[in-house]
Amino acid sequence: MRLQLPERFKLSTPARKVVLLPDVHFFCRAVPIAEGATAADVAAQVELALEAMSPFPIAQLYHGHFWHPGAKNAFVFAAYRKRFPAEQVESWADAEAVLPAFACMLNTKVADSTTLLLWSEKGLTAVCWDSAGDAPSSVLSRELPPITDSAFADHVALRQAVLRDSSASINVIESTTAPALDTSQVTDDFSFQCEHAGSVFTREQLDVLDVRDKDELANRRRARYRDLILWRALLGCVATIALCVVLELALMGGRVWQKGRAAMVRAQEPGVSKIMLAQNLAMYVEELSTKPMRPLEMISMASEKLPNSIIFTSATVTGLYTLDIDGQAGVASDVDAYNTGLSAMAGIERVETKESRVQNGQTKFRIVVTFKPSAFQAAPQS
Amino acid sequence: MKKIIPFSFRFWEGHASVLKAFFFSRLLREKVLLLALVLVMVLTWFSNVVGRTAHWAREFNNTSRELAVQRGWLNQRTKIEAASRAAVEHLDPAKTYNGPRLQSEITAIASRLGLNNNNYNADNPQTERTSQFSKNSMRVEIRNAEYSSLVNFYREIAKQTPYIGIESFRITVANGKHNASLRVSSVEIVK
Repeated sequence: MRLQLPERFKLSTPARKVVLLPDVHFFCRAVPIAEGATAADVAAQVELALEAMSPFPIAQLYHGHFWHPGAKNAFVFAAYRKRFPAEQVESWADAEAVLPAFACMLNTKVADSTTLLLWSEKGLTAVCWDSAGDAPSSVLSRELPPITDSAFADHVALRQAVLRDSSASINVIESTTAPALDTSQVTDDFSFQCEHAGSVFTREQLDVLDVRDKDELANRRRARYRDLILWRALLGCVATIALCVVLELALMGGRVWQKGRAAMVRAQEPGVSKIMLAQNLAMYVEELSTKPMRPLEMISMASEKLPNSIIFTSATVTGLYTLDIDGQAGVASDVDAYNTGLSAMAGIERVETKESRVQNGQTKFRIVVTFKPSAFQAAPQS
Repeated sequence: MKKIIPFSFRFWEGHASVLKAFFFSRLLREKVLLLALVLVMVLTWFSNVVGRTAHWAREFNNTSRELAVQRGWLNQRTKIEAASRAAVEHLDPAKTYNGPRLQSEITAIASRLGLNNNNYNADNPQTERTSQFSKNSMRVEIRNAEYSSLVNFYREIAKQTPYIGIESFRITVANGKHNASLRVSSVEIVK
């Protein structure tokens, strides 16, 4: 039996849902907006205006508005909540936005004095702009008369009446198809199309048009913001994966390069070792001829100032001019006196006491004497 | 004028939008789980690759240093060979000692001074060679000897300078007797 991946886990773009409500349910007004107002100011002014003009409390209205920065008016639309049955409202839960059908065409690019006629199965709506840079001045919506033998003539009469009521416009754009969301392109923006006209909204613009409860919309915005953060974190992870891939490729190349360099080091090593050996031996022969080691001369010089209580237990020559002496003294103060005496000698550069401890009445010490090179220059070999 | 968007960018932009829409349509727990899984994978891989990169960089630096040192030595090759030639040119090749000859000479000196097998010991000579000369060295140990014997032994070796020399020397005293450990070496000119 072949396992089927559940539909919701298939990597396909889920269709975005925007609910377009019948225009006739909404009453619409243009509301003047104070100059320099922000989007938040406009929302507040719109609610105040709605409270003033609506026969119902604002809590019983589904409302939204359209405004763009710089516009002198905002266009407000609202509908009594009870016009929409509970089952219909429940079906809005998974919708990206819920708005009257005409509202989705409010961002259409139009010239001054333009009327957009939108035909739908149930009615005709006229959206009128006096000024292209402003919100619409009015929206008129009429239901279609019942279908009779004279339907065509009725429609023509309705069209004439709507155009007359909406005041004469120089330009008329007429769409015989109802506006709908264009789902052919997957972008962040929302594009609506009807015959001869189109309108595109950003997510934020569409939120303002949404007529649903504003608290619920605020919750949805918060959830969307949280999802956006998660998405960006995921994108960061994907970018890091890309970086890892680049690093892996660079490492592969780098390893090949490093292998070649290591092979070069190995190839050069015998030659370099020979040169180093030649250098060391040349130095050795040079030293043997000019600076032979003189251990007994060193011991002899170090014994010159030796107090009677001190005896050497060992002497090690650790360099051409360095003698490491272990000794013991019957009188503790003699060690210091010996050190002072040695330091005062002409041929001695430095005397360091490395260790001094008393054991069984004897002071055991270790000193390192460094002789000056000149100390042995005149001295013949013993 | 129509903006020209490269095909590859449009391709990725389109796929990213599909993925974004897919991600946004998941439940919150699915989003968090997916992100957590990817995050764990990324952190593991990234820390691993960074560690390997750092290791590679250390190796690379070490090799660079090594190559620089080798280059330094190779650049000095002529100079060092000239110095080697100069170091031995005043020596008489006939008077130089090879390993066996060094050993027999030191043993002969010890015998002349009365140091016998009981208190004299010498290791096999070790040889280091270059194209122009070789160096032979051996460790000699003298045990329970009088100080005067040691002095005489040292003087006899010193007479052979610069053909025989002392590289290291240590003397210890116990119960009035002296033990000495020294490394003697000789130069042999290669003909």
